Amino acid sequence: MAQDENLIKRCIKGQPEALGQLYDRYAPVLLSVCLRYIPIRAEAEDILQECFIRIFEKIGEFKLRPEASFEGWMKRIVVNKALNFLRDKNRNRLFIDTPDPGLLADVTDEDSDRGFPNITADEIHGMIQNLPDGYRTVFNLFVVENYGHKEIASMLGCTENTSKTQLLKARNMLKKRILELQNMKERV
Amino acid sequence: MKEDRTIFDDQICQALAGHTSAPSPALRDALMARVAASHPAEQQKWLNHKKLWLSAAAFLLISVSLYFLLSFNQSSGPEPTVPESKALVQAEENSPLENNTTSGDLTQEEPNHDISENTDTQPLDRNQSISRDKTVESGSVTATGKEKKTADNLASNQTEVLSVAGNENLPTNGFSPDAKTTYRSGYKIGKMQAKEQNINNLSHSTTNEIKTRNVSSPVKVRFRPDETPAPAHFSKHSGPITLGAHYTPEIMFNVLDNDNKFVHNTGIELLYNYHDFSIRTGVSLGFATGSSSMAVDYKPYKGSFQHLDSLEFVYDMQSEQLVAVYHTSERKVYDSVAKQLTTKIDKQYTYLQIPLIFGYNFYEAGRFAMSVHAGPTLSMLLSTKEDSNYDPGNNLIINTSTVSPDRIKTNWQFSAGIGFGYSFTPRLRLEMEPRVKYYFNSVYEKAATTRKPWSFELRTGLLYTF
Repeated sequence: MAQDENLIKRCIKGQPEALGQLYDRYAPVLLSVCLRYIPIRAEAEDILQECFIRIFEKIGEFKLRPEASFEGWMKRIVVNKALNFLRDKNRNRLFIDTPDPGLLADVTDEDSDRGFPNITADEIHGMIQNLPDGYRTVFNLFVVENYGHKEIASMLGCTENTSKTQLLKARNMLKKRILELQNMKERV
Repeated sequence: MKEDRTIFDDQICQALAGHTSAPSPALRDALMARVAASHPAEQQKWLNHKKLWLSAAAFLLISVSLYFLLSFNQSSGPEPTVPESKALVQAEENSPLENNTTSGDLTQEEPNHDISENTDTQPLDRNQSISRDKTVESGSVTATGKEKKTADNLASNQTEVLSVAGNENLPTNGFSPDAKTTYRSGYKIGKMQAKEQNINNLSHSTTNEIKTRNVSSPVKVRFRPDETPAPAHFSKHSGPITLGAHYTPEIMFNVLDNDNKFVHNTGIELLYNYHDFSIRTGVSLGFATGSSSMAVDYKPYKGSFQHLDSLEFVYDMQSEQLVAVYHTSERKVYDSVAKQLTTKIDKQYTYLQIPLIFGYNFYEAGRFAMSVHAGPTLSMLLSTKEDSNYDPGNNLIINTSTVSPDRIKTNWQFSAGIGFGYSFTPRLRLEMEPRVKYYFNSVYEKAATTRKPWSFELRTGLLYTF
């Protein structure tokens, strides 16, 4: 945090090398966040660029408090930008109603209780990226960003029930894919 | 812990913790180039702000200094007393003047209070008595103390002493006991004039006699602070209602880069004057320009083909066979992948402004006056005129959306400034008022681009008082 503090102060002063350092330190993490919402890399990088411009502009507003997480603040900016992008891109087509009834049947936690030791973070990340837009967005907001359904509904302009359904489907789809991959790896 | 949360969710979170994706090197270069391009501008903007603040501070400092300087000069400047060595009238205590009692030239030390020019003159009366402590103070002439001297021969020598320019004359023949004449504020106290010829005659004839008399206290002549030119007919209170027209250029700060910082305001205004206070209102139009970005989703045009709408067979009598007739229409082909471009739209916003400005006139000297003004202004967006040079050509426009936010419909501002007025005639005056304005709410509609601008403007108005 002390390093961050120093870096933030230098960024506020507008030192270009400090902005470069900030980018080098946080761009990979933030791009990962961005890619979880926007799977197309070119689009995600565009959004990331916009986010960094925003961060550079607003860095003076970030309060240097011990409890404040600079990384968390930047992640929130990325998430908000990504959501805006998805809203503009999809225009009421964010949520799909998948006809597959199997997705609503909850996959038991017993299957995943043992964890997924053979699956890498990259693979999980990739599987999340391959979820449909609506599933992916709700899943990310609920599971990773830790928002509640009420907040998600307000952010995405949908009902709480839609958020819950999308989460359930996303979770089941992801579990299935993880299990498939795990089984395949075990067979090999 | 949310009730919907499962172990699976935690495992996913755990697996994703610390996950990174390396961005492409080109992204860094592009970002740094963008920052480098915008950064000097930002710095320049900051510098401009700084310069403007300094200018405003310097302006205020100069204004205040000017005000105090003028006040000081008039209120606490050296008294234009007639020096002892050049005593105009010397009176011997308790003894009447036997003969001419004046000598020397009638001059003032202070150039501001030159008393040797511009006067209506009055002769001193032969039979009046003269105090040895004659004082003209704060616009009054008093004669106190031991006024026992007669000035019989003053009149005979026709020494004309004091007068008042303007409408009233200082009665110099009023050197009688307890005589006191008070002059209205703002009037120019007259300037003593001694007709050189008479004075010379007088001085020649009385020099020897004065030398033989006891020297008594000199005549002290002190002028009120604002005797400098302030003719009554330029008074600021010539009427309670003032009507005028103004033009006010304005330079705005903290607006979006695409927007023009210059705004032109013009309108009519109505003032109600009450003593030194005034309330100003009116109707103005403000013209602001700017450009906004518009995102255009389109499918590029690839070409066209002749689409077969119908096929008709016609029997040809000459060739005695069926001939096919093709009915076609041209169909355009577009790329299946939509693209997006950003184009620029020029916009002109017209605002209706209704101010309610309170003023206080704190200084007035002759034709020149200074005042302070402050108050709110309500702005309402009347119209927005758009102009774009974008030509879509044959491309298929799918959707357009404005990227830059539109201007807000209603806005409140607060302005404060110092006004400088110059009266051409008692009723017609020109006012220039540099002022600072702050916008209470954002001028843009989208909350994401909240900007509360402030501006520096110069109001120039021509006013007529009824």
